[in-house]
Amino acid sequence: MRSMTYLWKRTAVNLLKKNIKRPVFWVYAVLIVVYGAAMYLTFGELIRENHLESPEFFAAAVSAFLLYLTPAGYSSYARRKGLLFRNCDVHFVFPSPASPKLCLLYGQIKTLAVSCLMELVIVFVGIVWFHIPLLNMLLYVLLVSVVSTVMDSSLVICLYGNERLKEETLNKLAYLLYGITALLLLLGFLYLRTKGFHVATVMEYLSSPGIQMIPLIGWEIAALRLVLLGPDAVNVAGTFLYLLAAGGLFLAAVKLKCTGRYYEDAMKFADDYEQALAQKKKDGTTNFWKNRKLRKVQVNWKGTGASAIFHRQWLEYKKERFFLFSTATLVSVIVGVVFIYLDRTGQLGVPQEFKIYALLGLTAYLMLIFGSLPTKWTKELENPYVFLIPDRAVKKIWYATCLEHVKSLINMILLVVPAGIFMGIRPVLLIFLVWMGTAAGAVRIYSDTITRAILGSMLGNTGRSLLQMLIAWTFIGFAVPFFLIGLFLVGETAAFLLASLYLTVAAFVLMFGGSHAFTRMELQE
Amino acid sequence: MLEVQNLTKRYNKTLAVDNVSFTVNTGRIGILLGPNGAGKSTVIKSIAGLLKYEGGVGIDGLPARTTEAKKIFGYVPELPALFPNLTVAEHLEYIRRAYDVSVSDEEVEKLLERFEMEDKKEKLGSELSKGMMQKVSICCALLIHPRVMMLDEPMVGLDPRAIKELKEVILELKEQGTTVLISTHMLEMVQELWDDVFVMEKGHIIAVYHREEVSDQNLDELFFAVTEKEKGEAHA
Repeated sequence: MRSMTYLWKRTAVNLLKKNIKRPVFWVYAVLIVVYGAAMYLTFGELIRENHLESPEFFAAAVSAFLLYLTPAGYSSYARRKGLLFRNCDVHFVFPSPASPKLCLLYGQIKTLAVSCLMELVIVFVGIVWFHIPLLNMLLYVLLVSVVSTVMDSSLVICLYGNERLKEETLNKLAYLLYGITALLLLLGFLYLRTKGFHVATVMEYLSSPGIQMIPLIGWEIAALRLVLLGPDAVNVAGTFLYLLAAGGLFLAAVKLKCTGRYYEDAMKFADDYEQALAQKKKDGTTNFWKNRKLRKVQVNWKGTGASAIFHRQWLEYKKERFFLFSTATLVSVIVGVVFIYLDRTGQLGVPQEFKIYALLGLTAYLMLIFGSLPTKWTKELENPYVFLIPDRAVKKIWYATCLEHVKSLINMILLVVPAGIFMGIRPVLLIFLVWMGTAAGAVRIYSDTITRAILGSMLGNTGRSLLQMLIAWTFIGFAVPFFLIGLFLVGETAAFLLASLYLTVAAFVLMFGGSHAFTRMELQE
Repeated sequence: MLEVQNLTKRYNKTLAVDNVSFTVNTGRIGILLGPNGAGKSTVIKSIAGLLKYEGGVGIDGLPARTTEAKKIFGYVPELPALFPNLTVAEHLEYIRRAYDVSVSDEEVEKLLERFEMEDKKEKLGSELSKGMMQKVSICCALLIHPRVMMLDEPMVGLDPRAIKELKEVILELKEQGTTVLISTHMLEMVQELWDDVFVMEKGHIIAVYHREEVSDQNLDELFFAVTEKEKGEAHA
């Protein structure tokens, strides 16, 4: 344990030393303080206005967290997930002479800082907003820091480190825990439906003896209620059972045979986690869904030079389960259908002549939401072969992004055309709207390329995203004057045509400017 | 001594290693050879206790998963993964504590000097190149004075000077009576080191050579003789 404590301490100290030298750390620190102060003022006011500043409400809120989040935690332990092991742990900690049980506790300790911070916030909020006496709050801290920690650590060993139960059994247990959470949610919903959707009903449900008698989680809620609100028959009985369970689980954890058979699963998790971290560092996204099934396809290879990029992407998309379609496609379909429904039922409340503008606004809004998501083409810049292809940079950028325009076009058609037809909008306007949306999508894509060409990784992912959004929305924003000129000088059709033409030209200008990103790989490093 | 007995490893339905047994006696250098996908890394990771497997692994007569066995077992994985927020010196200090070894500061200094890392002591793991990480990984494994040392592709990423130094270190370990197992497919790198060679293919050991029995025969010839023969039989 000595070595692991050393590891933990040195990591924390070095991390702090490293971070305090970075200006971005202080920016985030200030933002967190400002955010915290804003939350304190807003929520404090909200609680006072709604007369929720009672210890009972606080107990109910903490109970809700316990009731609905704890089973998910236990479930992740049973599936040998939920502990943040990294490749360095696999290299240096697992093969060391440390007991595998201690390695599990070391994995758990890594999350301790965040848990402590959360508990501090809870204690502060409990005293300031909910007027819970200091002594009760201290008892709460004691309960959480001693009994709950012992219980949680014991469960980590008994579930994650379990070598007696088969993997299938542990997986079934994990799903059972999810089932229990779903059942509790359903029961809560039915209870609320019967008794009425009020805060008082929620509190009644969360403090009911039935909830307090749920093994482990319910007993913990009972103990929590005992220290916060004082004794009653149910919470005393629940607390007794909770202490008994914590003691029993502790003994079971000590006695359980654990030789480190979990290392293999922890190693797989560490590998996935490292990949997710690397991806996050690269483009700000994380994706644990890496072993997805691909279809077997046959392809006739066509194209030479830069067009080979397009054909390779085409092959990759053909292998994908949903081809060119993505979450954005699904959202487009759903939003389109919802729009039709709202229009047919008269709930849209937009006069006929302004319906096209409602669709235009919707298109811009969806673009704002999905605009920051990285797409397949960004991966091209990570591949050295792209830079080695003997072709012009502008052709490379075109072929690398071509299918993105096709995807934008499909999504725009699905979003706009059915809804527009049902709403009785002139087809020519719908065509221009699809054109505008696709061209605006291209502006967004090429503003990303131009940002990469100018900045590389100078400002990190966040800085780059912000600049990309600024460039994209400035260019898209300039479509408005073009639209207005067309509208006032000629008419609506000309307005849409002029804006579409402007956005297309803007996309091409950005494309030529951004093609510089395809000349040297060092721009991405 | 390192003993592997009837080691079998399955990944779901795929049999990666099938009933593999071999022994590297005390003070000898064993080489695990084989083409990509032969199962070498699976065997290595199983010996290191990182995988679930059927069969047994013994480190100087002790079951590999026991604390006593781990205390005398040094492991250099194929891909070094250092703690990103620990300095080189802190990595060595951690090893000192984890294995409870009494190593003087002078000894640590000497080890770092051998691998030209003395000026990198205060560098964080995240600031090192892959080659430097490999050197730290080797230093950490050597620090525990292992009785059994296992190295997975140890030369990859090292500069020529470090490769030369590592070869010398391995021969010194042998002289001190340490058992060494190296997994590699860089045959020329282990030509002057090996005592026993275990050739793996498709999850099986297909040949075992002892230096005394094959005199000065080239490792390349031995390896290709058996793997090409296997390939020919498979085609026939």
